[in-house]
Amino acid sequence: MLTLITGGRVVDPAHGRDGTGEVWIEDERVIAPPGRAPDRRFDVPGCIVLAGGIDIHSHIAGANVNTARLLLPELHDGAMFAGAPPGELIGHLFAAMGYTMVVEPAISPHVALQAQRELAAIPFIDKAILGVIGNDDLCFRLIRAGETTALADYAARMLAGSGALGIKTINPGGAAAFRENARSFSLDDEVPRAGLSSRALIRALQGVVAALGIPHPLHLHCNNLGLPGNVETALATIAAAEGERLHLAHLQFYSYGREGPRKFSSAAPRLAAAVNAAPNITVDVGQVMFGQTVTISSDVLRQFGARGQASPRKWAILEAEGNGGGIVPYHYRRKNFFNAVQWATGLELFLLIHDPWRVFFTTDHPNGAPFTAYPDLLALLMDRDLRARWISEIPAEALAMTTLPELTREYDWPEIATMTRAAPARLLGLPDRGHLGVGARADIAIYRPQADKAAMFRNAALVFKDGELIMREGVAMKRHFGRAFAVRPGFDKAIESRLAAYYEEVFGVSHTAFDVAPEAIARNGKDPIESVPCLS
Amino acid sequence: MMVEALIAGAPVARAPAVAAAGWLLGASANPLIVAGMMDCGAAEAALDLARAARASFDHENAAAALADLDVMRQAGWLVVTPLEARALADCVLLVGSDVADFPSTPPPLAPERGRKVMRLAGDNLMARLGLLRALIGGRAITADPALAALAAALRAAHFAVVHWSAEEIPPLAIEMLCGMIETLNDTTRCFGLPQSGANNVAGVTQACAWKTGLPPRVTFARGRAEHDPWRLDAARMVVGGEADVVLWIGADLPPWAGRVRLISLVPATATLAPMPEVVIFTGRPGIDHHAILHDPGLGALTFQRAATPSAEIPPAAATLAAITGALAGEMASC
Repeated sequence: MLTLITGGRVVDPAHGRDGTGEVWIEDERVIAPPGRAPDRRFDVPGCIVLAGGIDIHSHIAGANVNTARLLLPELHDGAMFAGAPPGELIGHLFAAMGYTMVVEPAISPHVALQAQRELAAIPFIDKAILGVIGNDDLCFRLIRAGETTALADYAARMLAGSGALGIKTINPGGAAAFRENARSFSLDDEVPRAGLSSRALIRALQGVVAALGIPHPLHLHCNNLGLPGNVETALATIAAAEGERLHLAHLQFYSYGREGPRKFSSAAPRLAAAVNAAPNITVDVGQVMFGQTVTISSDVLRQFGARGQASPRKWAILEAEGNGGGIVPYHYRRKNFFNAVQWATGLELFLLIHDPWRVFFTTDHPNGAPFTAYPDLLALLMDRDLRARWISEIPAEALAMTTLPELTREYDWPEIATMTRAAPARLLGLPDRGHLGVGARADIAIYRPQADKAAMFRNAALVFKDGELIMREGVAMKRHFGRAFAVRPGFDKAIESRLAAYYEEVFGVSHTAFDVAPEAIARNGKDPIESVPCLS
Repeated sequence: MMVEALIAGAPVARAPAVAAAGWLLGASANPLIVAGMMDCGAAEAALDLARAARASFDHENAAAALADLDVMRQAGWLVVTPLEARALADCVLLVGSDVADFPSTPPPLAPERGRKVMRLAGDNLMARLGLLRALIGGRAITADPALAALAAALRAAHFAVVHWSAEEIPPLAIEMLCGMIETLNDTTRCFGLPQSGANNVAGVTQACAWKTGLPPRVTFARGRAEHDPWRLDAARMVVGGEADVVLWIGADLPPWAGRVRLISLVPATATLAPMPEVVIFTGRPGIDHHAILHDPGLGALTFQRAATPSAEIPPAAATLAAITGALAGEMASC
C-alpha cells in the first residue's frame, strides 16, 4: 500500500525540516517520493504533520499500577479511572493524542512478566519497560566487593530476563533503608547493612550502563523526592554524575527550596541553570496538573511518608525484593499553596531549560497528573496568554514563590516535535522513530490547528501507526497492536550459576522463575519484543 | 479420535458447540461467566467475551480475595511479598490454623537476628486478636502472658510479618491486623502477608484489573464495567434465579450446576453430572498448555510451561475467543 500525505506543514527537526511538503509511506515505512501514483492520498492543508509521539516515562502497567486500579474502585466505575485506566483505554487515549510509543519506567525484575503481559494487551502503541535495580542486596554485594564486571553481567541478565530497554534506579538505597526502619535517606547517607552511599550506587550503575553500551542513560529517581529544600539533593546529584550521562526523572519533584513564610518555594531557576550547564544531563519534568490522581511509585520510603496526605484516605504499601512500592491517591488543588507552587515549578523548568533535546515532556503519569492532561500542558507551553489566565487563578502567595509570571517563552512546533518525538527516540536509541526521514517507521500524527490548542492535541486529526490509519479525530479506525522494545547486551554466562546459588540461599527459588518467555506475551505468533542494538 | 464437545450429552465437533454457546449467550437476558480454575490468558479472553455479551464475570474463590481487597480499599494496608518475608523477617506471626508453618531458619539477609515464629489460633481467635491489637496500641488492659509476650515480640522485631488467610478469618479480623501493623510501623517495621486464594483467583483478579480497572464481580450489563461484590456474586445470582445462562470454566462443574442453563469449559477428566447443556473440552493450564498463573510462593505471576503441550485440546482462552467470534456472528445476523 502506497500512501501520500500532502499539503500539511511537515515538522521534522531530526532533519531540520519545517515547511509544507509531502510524506510518502509504503507499508510500514516512510519512503522517498517513488515516482508512482499513491494507492491512497490524504490532503491535509493547514495541518501539522509530525512523527508519532514518544512518552519516555508513564506508569501504565505492572503490579503497582494494577494495585492502584484495585485500590480505587469508586473512581473506576463507568468512565472514570483516577489516573490508572485499564490497558485498553490507555492505548486508545494515547493514540488519539498522536502518541505511538510509551515507556513504562519502573518494573522490578520479579514482576516483569505481569508488566509485559499487560503491555501486550494495550492496543495501538509500542511500549517498553525500564528494569529497576539499585535497592537489592545482590547489587550491594557486588558493588561492595568491587566486582564491576559481575555487576554488569547481573544487570544484563536482568535486562534479558525482563525484556527491558534500560535501567532505572529509584531512590537508590532508600528502599533498602526503609526495610531497616529509616524514615529519610539522602545522597550521602549510608545504606544500612550495605556500607554504601546512594552516590556510590548511582556511580556504579552509571558505569554498568556505559559498560553494557545501553543507549538510554541511567534513569534516576533521586533521593528526597517531594521534600522542601530537596533542590540541594538534585544539584548534588548532577554534580555527582561527574560529566557522565544521567537522566533525572520527573525533575519537578526535586526542585523545591525553603524560601518564604511557608518554607516551600520553587528552586527551578537554580536547577534549570545547572541542567543548562551540564550537557551530560537529560531530564523529564513530571509536571503537576490540577485534579484527582493517584501516585504510584517504587520509592517505598517516600510513599510510606506520604500516607498522611492520601485523598481519598487510603493507600497500599508493598515491601518487596528490590524496591516494592506505594500507592497513594492524591488530589492536586489549584487553590492549595503547595500544589500551585508545584504546578508553577514544572512550567518554569520547561521554560528555563533551553535545549528541547534534553528536557522531556512528562507528568510522571499519574504522579503529577494523568497523561490525559497532556493536551492542556502542551497548550500552556505554546501559549503565554493561556498561561497568564491559569496564573491568575492560583494563590498570589504561591506565585510569589516562583518566577513563572516573568517567563514569556512560547514553545514553537519544532521545539514540541523535538521534545516529544525526535529527542525521545534518540534518548532511547531508536533510530527509525521520532522522525519522518526515509526509512522511518510510519508512525505519524497530524494535528489540525485551532483556537483551542488543547482540543487539537487531545484528538489528532489523523494518526498512522506502522503505516496504518488507526485514529481519526479520536475515533479508532483500525485496531492495531504494536510491539515491545528491549536491549540485549551480552553477558558472561557464569553469572547464571552465581544467581542460581544466591536465589536458592536467599529466596529458595530459581532465578529463572521470573523470566519473561516470549510465548507468554506473543500475539498471533509474532515475536513480541524487538531488539534495540547497544552502542559499540 | 477424542471427543471435542457435547451438546445435551451427545458428542459433537467443537465448532457447533462453540456456535451453540454463542447462541445461548446471545439469547440470554442476564448471562454470567464464572471462573473455577482459570489462567490469566483465559481471564483476558473471558472478559472480552463478557464485554461482548454484556455479561457478568466472577471467580468461584472471589469472596476471600475480595475480603482482603476490601480492607485495602477501605482503609489501606502495608503488605510484603512471600520472598521478602523469607529473606528478611525476624518475627512471623501466623494467624489461624489455615496458613502453613513458616520456616524458623534465620532470615538469609539478616541471619544474626534469628527468627521467631509464633501462631495465634484456636478458640476465641477474634477476641484475642482484638486484645493483641489493644496491647500493641498501648491500651491499659490485662491480657494473658502468652498474648503479652506475643505483642512484645512484635514490638521488638526489626522486620515482623503477620500472615493470615481470608478463607479463615473474617474481614473485621483482617482490618484489626492491618491496624495493628500500621501502629507497629510507628517505631519498627511490620507487614501483612495475606495468603492468596485457590484456583488462581489472585491471577484472575490481576487480569480483571488490567482489563477493566476492577476486580472480579464485574458486569458489562450496561455496556461499561461496573463492580459490585454482593450483587455480582455468581452463586447468589444462580441460586436467586437472576442469571439465566452461565458459562463456567473450571476443573470440574460448579456446586450449583443443575440450577441454571450451563455451558461448561472443562477438561476431559471432569465429572459431568448433572450434564450441562453444552460442554467444550478444554486443556488444563500449565499441564496441557502453557499458562500464566499466580504463584503463591513467589507472590507474582509466572509462566508455567506445559511439559507435554496438547495439540488436540485447546486452552480455554482459544475457546472463549471463538465463542466471542460466534457471538459477534449472532449479533450481526439479528
